[in-house]
Amino acid sequence: MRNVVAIAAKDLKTYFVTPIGYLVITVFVGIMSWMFCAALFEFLKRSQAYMQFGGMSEMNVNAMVIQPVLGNMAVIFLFLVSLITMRLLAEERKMRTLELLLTSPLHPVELVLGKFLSALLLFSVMLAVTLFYPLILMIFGGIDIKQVLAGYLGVFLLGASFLSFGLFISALTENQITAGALTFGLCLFFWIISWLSGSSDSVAGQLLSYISIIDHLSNFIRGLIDTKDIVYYLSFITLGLFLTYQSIESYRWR
Amino acid sequence: MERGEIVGLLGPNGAGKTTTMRILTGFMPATSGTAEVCGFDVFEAPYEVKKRIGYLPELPPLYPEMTVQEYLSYVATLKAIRKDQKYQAVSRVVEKCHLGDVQKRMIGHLSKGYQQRVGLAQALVHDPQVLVLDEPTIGLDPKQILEIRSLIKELAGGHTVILSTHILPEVTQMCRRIIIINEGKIVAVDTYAQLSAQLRKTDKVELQLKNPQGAMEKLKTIPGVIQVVQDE
Repeated sequence: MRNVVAIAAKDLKTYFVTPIGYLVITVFVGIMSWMFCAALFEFLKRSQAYMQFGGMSEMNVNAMVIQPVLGNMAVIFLFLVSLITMRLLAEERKMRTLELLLTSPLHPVELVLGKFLSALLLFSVMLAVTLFYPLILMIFGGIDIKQVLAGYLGVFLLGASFLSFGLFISALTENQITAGALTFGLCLFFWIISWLSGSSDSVAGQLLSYISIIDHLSNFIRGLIDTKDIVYYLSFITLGLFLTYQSIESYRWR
Repeated sequence: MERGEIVGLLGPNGAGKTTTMRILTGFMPATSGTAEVCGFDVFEAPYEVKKRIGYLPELPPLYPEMTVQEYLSYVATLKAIRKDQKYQAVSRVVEKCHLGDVQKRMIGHLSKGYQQRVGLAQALVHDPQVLVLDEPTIGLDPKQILEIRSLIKELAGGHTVILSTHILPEVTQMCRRIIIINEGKIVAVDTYAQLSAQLRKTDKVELQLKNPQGAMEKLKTIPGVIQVVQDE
């Protein structure tokens, strides 16, 4: 456990010694703020119109501002996940520091968990900064904070799934660019995998939409926490970490 | 191997020096046979072996974005040194490897010689019984080579050192015993003096004589001469 913390702390620090940490946070928060403002202005414009012509009761801040912003947040993170994970293990292989880690008295599982934790902490910081938006809405108007938090939980689980998968890809190569491109491509694929399922009720169609990583997010964003979705994300994360562990072990046998 | 001696692993490129060291340090499993360090089998009890062994690979495993002190303290944690002894352990190796002047600087900004010393400090930080050094002087300039050599000599006594190289003078200067390997097999194990005495048996001497008549017979009578061949 001590090793997990030491590795996570070291890698988290590396994010902020190199520009990657600042860059990722700035891009993420900058774009999210823009989107939040756009959604909010749209909402204000419409509420003025409704005030004049009636129908004010149909207005809902949660549905019209928070939900689309959370949905977009998942998309923006899809673009940034490869930047966070690509160097984690690829760099260790390239600099031969993996040799140091594997000849130290620690279990490879500790290494995998430490790396994952550092990426997850950076992601949590990114998410925490955006909590600013619902906070503003809460102060100046009524929103359903429970629904917002459910949505955040969903985005967090989705992000963690991407990160565990990116970590696995990073363990496969010593080239950061390869790892980054492959991570982006495969994460995007998991995103659109259900597009082929169409509206058919066939088993294959249902399977594809179950595998699709985005289909499980919509419930969370609507404020619905379903065990089925939680189990999906947790198994995705576990699979990613397990594959990472296996590829580190196989690296030693080569 | 005995405690506190320096043993040189000598062999041409691709002879299996690095592989041997990787098996000893538990980085790679052996395809056949076993290896023991300090009484622990490297495959059965890797944790115990790794605590007692310090390893400097051919390329020192450094993080260029860390300062020397940060790096050594991180390695100390990885090597299972207790928190209250960490500071002491780091300052001990900083002094031992003469890194006092650069300990606050970033590793990426240091010269190759200093980086090699940081690599050595990393292998020493947990005061291991066995020190495994893979080509510790490769890629350094002559002055840096001398510095690293004298540093390694200072370490003998406290640690058992296994050192790999393909440079013959390096072993003759530093090592008490030499193991020569080729294509994965041990060819010879002995001290340098005895190895060179054995080699001398097969020394060739070429003579040019103005008057070679009867010289063949006379040469054969000299003790120690094995064979005499005449060349036209």
